[in-house]
Amino acid sequence: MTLTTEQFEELCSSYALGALTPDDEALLFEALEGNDKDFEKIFSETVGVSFLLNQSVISSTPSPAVKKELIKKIHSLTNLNSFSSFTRIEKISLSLGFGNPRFAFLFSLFLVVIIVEIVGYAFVMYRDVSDRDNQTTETETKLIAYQQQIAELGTEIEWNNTILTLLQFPGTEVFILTGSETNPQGSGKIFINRTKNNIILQFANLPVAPSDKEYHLWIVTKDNVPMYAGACTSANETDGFSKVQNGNILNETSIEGFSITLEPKENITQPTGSVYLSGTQKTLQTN
Amino acid sequence: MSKEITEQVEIDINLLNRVAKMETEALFLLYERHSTLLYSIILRIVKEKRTAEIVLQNVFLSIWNLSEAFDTRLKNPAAWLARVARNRAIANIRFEKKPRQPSSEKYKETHISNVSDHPDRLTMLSSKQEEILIALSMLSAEQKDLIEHSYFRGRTVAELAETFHLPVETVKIKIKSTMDILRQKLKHLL
Repeated sequence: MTLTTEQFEELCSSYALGALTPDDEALLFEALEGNDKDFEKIFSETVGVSFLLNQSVISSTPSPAVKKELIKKIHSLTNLNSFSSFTRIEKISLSLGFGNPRFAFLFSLFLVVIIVEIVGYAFVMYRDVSDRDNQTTETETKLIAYQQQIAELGTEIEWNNTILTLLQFPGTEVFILTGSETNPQGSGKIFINRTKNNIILQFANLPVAPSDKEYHLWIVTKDNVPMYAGACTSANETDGFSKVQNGNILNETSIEGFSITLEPKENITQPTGSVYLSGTQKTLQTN
Repeated sequence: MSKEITEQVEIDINLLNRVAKMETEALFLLYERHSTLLYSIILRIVKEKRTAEIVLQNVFLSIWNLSEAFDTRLKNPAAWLARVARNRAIANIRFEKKPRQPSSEKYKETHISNVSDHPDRLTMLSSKQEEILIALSMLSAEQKDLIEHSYFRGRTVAELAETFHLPVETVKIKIKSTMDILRQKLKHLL
């Protein structure tokens, strides 16, 4: 339907005052999609007038408590997003008997039950959503948080299964990494299976790297010489897993340990930055 | 759009882009920049301070969750934010299904303002606000009523027709002529 300028102005005016029905609104935006410069100008000016109307109201300032509460809510959401429960899962895995396929299955089943419960709870929450604006927003927020948790748990299950599978093969070496003075809270493990060409790094409590730097992995040989093994963490993650793509590790027979340093993003041949994680202790070699 | 407005639009668009990247600081900067105006609009509509604060908080949470996304057709993020705040406040009073009365914490403004109605406000107004109030004072009582009932009370064209006992088409024409007057008077501020 082609609108005359007069009809278009009528629709714009009602839209600007928020009084348009959805059908008329669709008609208005259909007309705007025609890229008519005059229509665009009328629309822009009319909507601009309604924005000016807002400035006619008595100015009031919300209490500082509103911002405090908002900050609290946003931070709790942000923390939930970045929260990684690997440490907790790792403890459960170890107590169940790491390396046993039956336990791996039970462990996965346990996590699936948790996920189903979370999804179920999210569904119940969804059903309870009323038209009330604030309740709707809160529920939306929770749903998003649960979805993110589910996605994170799913990724962690995949990684744990990979590690459990790796541990079933003979000759898998495990190096325990501990935090240095720079990062005493840090910890990690490196799983190496030379037959399967597989090297996995698991890390926890590694501070987020500044934008111009990244973490690098070094092999410490028996001669105590550091050998470069590549950049090793995903961006902005403090806890997580990483697959190390470096043939040097698989070919190197005199590995004494590993260390992780924070280095500038450039070609480096020797470690220059602080050590964040290191470890020489090989704790397990499966048979 | 004036140079000053263009600069403000660029700042807001930059902040919204940063919010989309989950930068909390950007959201709080947006709050600092716009919370007073948004809260004033919401309070004008819901007329209760505590309700207005909850609605305001939900506006920013919805922006953070991206359940409200910037409507680029509006060009100006501040105008979009004001529209989101207005719509959420209207949704709130529609949910209540009863007209709001000012609560014990008195909210004085109950109708479109005239400069002459609030001589005490004159000293506190910016020249821009003063010009807006002068333009509004040039409208007829009926035209002010149309703005009050549509923009600040959330009535649709059909509901306005019922309220004013007029045909829908007549209401549309009256709204257009009201907005035409304001567009002419306030053109230099757009």
